[in-house]
Amino acid sequence: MLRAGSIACLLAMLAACATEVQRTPSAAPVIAAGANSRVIRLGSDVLVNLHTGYTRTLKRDARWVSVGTIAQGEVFKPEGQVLTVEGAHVHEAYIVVSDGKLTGFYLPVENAFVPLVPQKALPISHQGS
Amino acid sequence: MKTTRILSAAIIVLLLAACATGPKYAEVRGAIPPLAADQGRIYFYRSANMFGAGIQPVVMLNGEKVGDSVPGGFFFIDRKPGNYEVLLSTEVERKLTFTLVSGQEQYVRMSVTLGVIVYRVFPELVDAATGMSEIKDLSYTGSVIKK
Repeated sequence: MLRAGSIACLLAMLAACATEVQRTPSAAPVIAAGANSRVIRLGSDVLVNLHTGYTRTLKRDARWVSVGTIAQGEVFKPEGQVLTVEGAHVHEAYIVVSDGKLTGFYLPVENAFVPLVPQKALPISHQGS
Repeated sequence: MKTTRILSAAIIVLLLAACATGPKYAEVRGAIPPLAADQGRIYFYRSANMFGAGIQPVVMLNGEKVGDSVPGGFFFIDRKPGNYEVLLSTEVERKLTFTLVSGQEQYVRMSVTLGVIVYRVFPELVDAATGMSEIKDLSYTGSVIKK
């Protein structure tokens, strides 16, 4: 009985230690000279599994507005949805897209890139400006 | 039997005392000033859930105390555009980071979860529609609103 209680306690303590969001420093997104802000929408909700064990849903009805490009792809900020990535802490995030795939997340406060492994194809239904 | 009844009553009184008692959102809505053009607004709120009601951590924004996390309460502050970090004084340090731009309203919900030994309160960023709908039933716990 005591052993079972100890194991349960240990598991609870381990669960309490969330993984830190793994990220690499990134330059701020750069907007090409003369470029209009691109907007994309998704054809359906997209469920994303983060390496920290948390999940996020990119909503179908959100607008994703391009705020520039970083080395890993084009950075889109959500409108009509708040997006965060979560581990030991919670960080506001934008999505990073390259060749129609979600390559990861850009953290605007930390100026950092969080890779998504594996990358995920996005059902982009609309592109415009 | 009598002791149990008295104890139960005492617990109920304590729980009720732990809840926010200010005016409801509908009562203060008209007094909330319009946002200045060069500022953004951050709403902080916590549902009236009685779990962990006794845990009422200080709310820190970029290292400055801006309020307390009271069950059933909300408050707001206006700040210049920039990067912000919210931290609650609970047993586990869990930060929330987000940006604020001019004219924007950000909503920070403080949620209660069961920790290893005690309840914890964590900040999370929610969209405006969710934040506004959840604040409607809460009581204002901020400082006096200047008209």
